[in-house]
Amino acid sequence: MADLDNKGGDNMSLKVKIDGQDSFEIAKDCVKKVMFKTDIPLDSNARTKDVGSTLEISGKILVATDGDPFDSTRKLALWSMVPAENSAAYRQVTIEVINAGIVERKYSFPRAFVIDYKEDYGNTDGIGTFTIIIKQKKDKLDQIAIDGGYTGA
Amino acid sequence: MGFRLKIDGSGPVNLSERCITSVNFHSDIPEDSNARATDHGTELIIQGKMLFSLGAEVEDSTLNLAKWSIVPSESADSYRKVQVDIVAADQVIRQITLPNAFVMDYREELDDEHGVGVFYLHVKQKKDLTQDTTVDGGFGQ
Repeated sequence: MADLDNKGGDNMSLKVKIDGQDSFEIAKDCVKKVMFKTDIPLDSNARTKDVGSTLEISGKILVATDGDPFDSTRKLALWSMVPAENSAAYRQVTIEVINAGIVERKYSFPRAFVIDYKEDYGNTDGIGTFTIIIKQKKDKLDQIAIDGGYTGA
Repeated sequence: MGFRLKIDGSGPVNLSERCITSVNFHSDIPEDSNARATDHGTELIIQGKMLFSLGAEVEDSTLNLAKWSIVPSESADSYRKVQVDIVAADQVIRQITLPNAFVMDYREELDDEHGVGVFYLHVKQKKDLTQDTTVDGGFGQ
């Protein structure tokens, strides 16, 4: 389980890209935290076949004031509402964690679907926050790619 | 960041940024599904203050929230259109509409300390009509 918290501002950049029908990127100013998790039954006595993989992305919902890049988090909300009958429910998610010019991790989930989406707004924060939990389609688990440790932009 | 709530129906509710303190939108999907599930709903949780009008000049529309929450399911009025606008810097960041929402939970808390009471409203779009939920945003108010 990797817990990558962007506490220090510019020290780490988290790039989230969602491809498929209506491709978009979530601005790195928005993404605050990414969590990659492999789900394995805790009560298994030997290596199980029942393995799943989850990505949890949380961040800020920014207001686009003059000339700012448009905040694409709304498209996450729309993705979370796509019905199962529609092929757009499955999309390609790529997350790059970039640190000092090095791509520390690159997760790619080529058949990802949403299992939870939340938006929170309060009158004290000034911005909203979102949390999306996505999972790779369980029978396509072998298509997940985890790379890292190379130079990249 | 300000919130505006509009509920149509026999007891219309119009609440402004002065009284709503938080809004929470949730796409409710079973977390243990192995592939995209059809069992999917959308819900909104709205919390705010129960402001009373001095001299009772303006009707307190939180009263209509409480009345809506006790409408029996036989009544067509138990389903109403709920629209929330989230506004900041002259822009509507989100405009979330649940056109056939019903009340899942409603609470009011009042005590002798805070001066104003608080309400908690949890509404959900009728599940077979989840597709009618709209999430807009990114336009001027």
